[in-house]
Amino acid sequence: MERTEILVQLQRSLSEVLNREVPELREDARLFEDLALDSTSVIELLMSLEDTVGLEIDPDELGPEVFRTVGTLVDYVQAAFATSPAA
Amino acid sequence: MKHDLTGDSAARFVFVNNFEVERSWAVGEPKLPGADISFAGATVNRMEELGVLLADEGDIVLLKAELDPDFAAYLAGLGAAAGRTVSVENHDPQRMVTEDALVSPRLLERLRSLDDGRTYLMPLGVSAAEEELAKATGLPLAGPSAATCKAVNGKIFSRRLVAETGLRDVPGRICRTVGELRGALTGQLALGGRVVVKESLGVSGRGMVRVEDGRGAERLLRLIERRGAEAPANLVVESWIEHAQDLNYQFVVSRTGDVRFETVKAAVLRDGVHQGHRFPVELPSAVVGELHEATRRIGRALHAEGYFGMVGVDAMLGRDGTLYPCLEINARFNMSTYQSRIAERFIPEGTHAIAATFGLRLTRAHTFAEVARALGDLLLDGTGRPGVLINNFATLNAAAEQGGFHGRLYAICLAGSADAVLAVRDEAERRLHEMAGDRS
Repeated sequence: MERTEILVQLQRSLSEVLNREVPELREDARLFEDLALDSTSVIELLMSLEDTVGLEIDPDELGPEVFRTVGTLVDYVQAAFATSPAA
Repeated sequence: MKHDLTGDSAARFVFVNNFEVERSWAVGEPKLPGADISFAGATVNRMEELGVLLADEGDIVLLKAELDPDFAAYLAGLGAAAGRTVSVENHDPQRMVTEDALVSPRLLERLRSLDDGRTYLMPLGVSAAEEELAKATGLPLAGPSAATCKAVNGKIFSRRLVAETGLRDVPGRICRTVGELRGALTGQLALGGRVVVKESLGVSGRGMVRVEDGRGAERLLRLIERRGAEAPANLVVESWIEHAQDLNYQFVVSRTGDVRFETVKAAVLRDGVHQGHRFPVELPSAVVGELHEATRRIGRALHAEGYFGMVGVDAMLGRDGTLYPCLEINARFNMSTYQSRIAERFIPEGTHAIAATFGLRLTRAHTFAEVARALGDLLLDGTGRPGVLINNFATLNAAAEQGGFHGRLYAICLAGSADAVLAVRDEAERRLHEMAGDRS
């Protein structure tokens, strides 16, 4: 999946989880500080992302560094696609 | 409280305000997927400063870092900080105050020198680290063992206690293993409405997820069932009570089993956004009666488990007037505990208060003098006019880093009526955002 496409899907998932229209994402936007994600919405974001990008994510393997910024999360999804047999 | 917990009214307390001790109790416990990802550790760890307003004359408050001198002078001017403070020499923002203390030899020596047979460590809650601190300093704990504290603070324990004491429960069930979650979620959703899934030993406000419908349930199950049906889960699955008023009440269980009701506070929401907790709360007398009865039953049951100390219980008052008297037992200090001395001193009959948290986006650290200037005539001066008392300042700059960070101020807003106090809160928030240059 292309990076721009992942960004669009992430924007869609964030809007759904945060229950508000999230504007176009900047890669350096911080998920917790700038976009106001919290721990409850992280779980919901993971659930939503699995649906929208069609990727199996193992949350037990995720560290906080993946969720630092939009860019780091997109990096993770892109890397996961690269190693996923379904990709 | 001193007599209740130690049998000696003249005991001296060394307050160890280990906020989110729940994190220690949760070590090794199963978590919800992704529940560990977000956590503002550095900020929460500096909430230990709230203890300064709790201490009586002669008491000591253990801090991670000394108070901002202007904040100390402000509190002293109000007569709001009666005790002394001591601070660790090895401060790491990611560590709780107790953990800092354990690696600060000079502080440990100082604490050892306080041992006079009537000086006690008084933590927010007891975990293994506080037991270690008691051992390292020779100062006894004014509370039960870490094992007892952990046992009575689980949400599974709360549900069982509610069932055994005959209190009204929120419809729900307990899942010990991952394999039990599917049936529990399906069954609970079938009753109608939304469902909340909580870790038994999750930190308040975290370690939970709301499930809207069958699709949401499938999503959660997909994430968690990968662990295998036999994997431990330790979750409670409960119906989400819509539009209920959140209440929190507090009581003390003494060493000898006496139970004393203290206060009840209510969450203030506007357009669904949490504004803080207000007190006093006017509740129908039948509800007050139920809360007192719940206090007696829960207190007695906790004492039978070996617990004594402060207890905060989360309750809900449904729109139809139904009281759910026990959603969660927090057998430890609560935010109410830290507001009790302030309430006694600054909140006379007829005054309305809101305990508020102001979240600010900052681009640099700010001093207390700047906060005081920004609040101007709203900063409480003890003359009886409406205003805002800042009761934790260290959390403002705890997460300071280049390029912007989130800071928090804890405050008690006071005014003559429920509406006026909300207006004071709003205006204080506006002025603080102006100081931060944050227009969001």
